[in-house]
Amino acid sequence: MSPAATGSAPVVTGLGVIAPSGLGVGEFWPAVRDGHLALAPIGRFEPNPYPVTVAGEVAGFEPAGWVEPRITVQTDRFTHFALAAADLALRDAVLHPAAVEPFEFGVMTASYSGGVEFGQREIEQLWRHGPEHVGPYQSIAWFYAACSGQISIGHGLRGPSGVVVADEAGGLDALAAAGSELRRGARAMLVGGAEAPFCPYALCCQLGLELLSTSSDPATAYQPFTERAGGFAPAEGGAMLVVEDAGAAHRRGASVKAVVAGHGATYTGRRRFDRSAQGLLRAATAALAEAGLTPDDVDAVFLDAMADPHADAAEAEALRLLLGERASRVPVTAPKAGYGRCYAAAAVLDVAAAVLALEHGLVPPTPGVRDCRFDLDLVTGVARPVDLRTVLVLSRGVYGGNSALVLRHPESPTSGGM
Amino acid sequence: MDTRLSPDDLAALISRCTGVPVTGEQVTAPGHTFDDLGVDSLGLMGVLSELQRHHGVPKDADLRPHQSPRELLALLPGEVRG
Repeated sequence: MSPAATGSAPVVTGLGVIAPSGLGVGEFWPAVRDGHLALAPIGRFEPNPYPVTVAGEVAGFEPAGWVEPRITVQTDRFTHFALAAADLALRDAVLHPAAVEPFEFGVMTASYSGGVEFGQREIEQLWRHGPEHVGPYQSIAWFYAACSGQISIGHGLRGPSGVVVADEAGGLDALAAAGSELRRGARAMLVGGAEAPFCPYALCCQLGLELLSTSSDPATAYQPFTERAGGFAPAEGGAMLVVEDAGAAHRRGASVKAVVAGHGATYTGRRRFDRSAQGLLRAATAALAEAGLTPDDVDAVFLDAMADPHADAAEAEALRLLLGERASRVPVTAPKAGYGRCYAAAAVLDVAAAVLALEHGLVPPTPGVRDCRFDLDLVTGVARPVDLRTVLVLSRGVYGGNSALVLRHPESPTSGGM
Repeated sequence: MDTRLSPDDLAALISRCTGVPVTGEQVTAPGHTFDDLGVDSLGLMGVLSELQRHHGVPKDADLRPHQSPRELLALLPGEVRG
């Protein structure tokens, strides 16, 4: 029996979101549901002379009120996002960390960029003034594990913790890693990721990918699955989830939002998007098998949506291979077209959106997109009411990782029954 | 280069470098260690290098979190009112 079928699969009990479309699920969900466009000209630094000028920035976020001043000075913006999202997730889960044995509560985050804005500031000090002008906190602020570390220290969580640095698809792999720790005895995990890749240095690193949109019009910059797809708009932000052992969540009377039923991951090589069709197919098949489900059970798909013509075609092909003739009828969506692609946090935000979709019985639209060039039922315009039981989330990395996660409604027949 | 710092100036510099709110009284009060104030070793390293760059503290000066802001004040050259 699969973990989902036996009721031992991990459950999501809390969501914390810091996104360009809003702070907290109370702002994020209505924005996603209504297809709100949160892309805008980059304001965090002067983007000239760089060709990428449109992005999803978390414009309203200041660390004051979210992060202790002592921690603010020693951490990068990506960690500020993660700390804020972790607080929101704990509040949403109505879970006080002190109520869990410290060694049974861990943290797992995914990171792609690390603390790049902090790093740029210190590199400028190094070049302008010399090594003794580099602040000592650079040693911990840039680090991929900074978010896991600071959340762990801040809340006294001493359970199994780590960071998944596995390209963008690592956002889903972090959920799987947290699930493994829960099966090995942890009771609760804070899991997710955050990115803040907006400074000249970080943007230059991204330009080398040759996958970013150079459009200067926020309304048309990121148009996956259309004839006009010409790259993605990058984003900052992130999400943290409280994921618990199903039994532990049940015993404390927690309200379960969704079941993390299955995960699969494959690797098909850098810039080999033609191969990612097979890669995504095999990841999705493995995730469904772990969930004890078949492709026929998939009610909706949250897409990776690279907005590269070859990558989009490969993702559409993966769905055709996975779903067969249902591929043109299963609602699929890419809410990230409204706020941008947030690297390792992109898939975590998709998971948050998918959990909210399950909760509300609505598949949110792909903002700004009207005409899908593939034979897919891409939801556009307004959210579509669907009796959602099983949602598939797909994620690819720009360097060749392909991951899939299966989420189920807590009242689905083969899950949550303890 | 202004090398003279009052206890309030030093407190403000510590706050700026470490994010820990520190007052002039806490800098001069006996018995307070940096640990007590919540200033960790990395924060203290940042404070020291700032003082070495701009306020004439010798390059080989060293201070640990179990020591006190008073000991730091004593490392500063020139007149210090405290």
